Amino acid sequence: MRFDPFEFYRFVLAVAVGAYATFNVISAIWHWRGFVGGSARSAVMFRRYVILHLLRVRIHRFTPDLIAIVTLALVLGLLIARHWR
Amino acid sequence: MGDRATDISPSISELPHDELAAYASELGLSLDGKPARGELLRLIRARQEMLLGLDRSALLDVVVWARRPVRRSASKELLARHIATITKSRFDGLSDRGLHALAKLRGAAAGRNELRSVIEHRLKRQGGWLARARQKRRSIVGAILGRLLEDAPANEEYKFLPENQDGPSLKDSIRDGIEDAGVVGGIARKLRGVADQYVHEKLDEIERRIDRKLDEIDQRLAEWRDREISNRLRLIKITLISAIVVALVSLGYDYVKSRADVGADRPVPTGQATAREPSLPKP
Repeated sequence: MRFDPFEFYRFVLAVAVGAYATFNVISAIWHWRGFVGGSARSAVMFRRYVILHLLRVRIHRFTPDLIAIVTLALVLGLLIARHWR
Repeated sequence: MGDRATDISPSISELPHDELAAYASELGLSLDGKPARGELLRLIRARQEMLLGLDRSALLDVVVWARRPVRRSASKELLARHIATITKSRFDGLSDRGLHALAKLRGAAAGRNELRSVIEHRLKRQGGWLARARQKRRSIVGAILGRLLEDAPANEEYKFLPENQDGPSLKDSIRDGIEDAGVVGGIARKLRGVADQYVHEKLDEIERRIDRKLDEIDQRLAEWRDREISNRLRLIKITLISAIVVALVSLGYDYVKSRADVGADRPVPTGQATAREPSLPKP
């Protein structure tokens, strides 16, 4: 079996980026959980305020962006599927 | 909505166009496009005339049904302003006269002898299926959040806001005051009443300013939130595009590599190999 530099680069990139993204997501969830999930009065108020603001978001304002994201995600999914063939 | 401030009906003909439009909306008038000033004035006058013809008790019934905080002595105009903000479409607990008043204010036909269910159905159909879907969504979200945030469902009896009963009324004459409390006491009471009213007016004004400022802050926060969401979505798009480019490069590499492997594994034809060999000179 020959050593392939591009295979090695692809593997390292996937591991590094995957680990970085996972760490960031978990860290953000942990941070927000601590910030919002408390039972103190300020935390409860903040939680309600965040819920209120989320409910007041008008999704239709972001429709073009959301459509683009869904399309790009589909394309990426197809490309990844092509790798497994 | 400050009762004192809104009870005073402004001289509408002096209002600028935008404030006139806002006033019309507050009264519950739905404006299509941007009507001219004259048209706006006509609509507002018509609405005021309609309010004069409505029963105040019926309007109070609607406000109590929707649990809007008002004083029992609130004017018809103030009640109509509150009613204009009501979007409820479940009419349980609303009296018949209240339902008729609500239908008239929402511009739906409601005859005296018409069945309650017919009027309810007409009111529900009024906004179209989109409005109905929105209302349904809100009611579901409201039920979920109510269960999440409130300890127990609030089924308390409605209570009107307390009337202003602070100190003597300005309508009491000095003569009455002096008769009750003597010269100094009567004049002092009158002065105290004037001062109290002045303080109340100022406090109301400050409250209105604070409300306006809070609305501005809320508006800015909403804009900031939308900007932030937009930025995040853009970042997601950029990340996805980068990932697609990397995937394309990787796929291209796989393709080139597979082609090269096929080329290397293919057996070389013997005819061609001999043809390429240099021919030696025959002796």
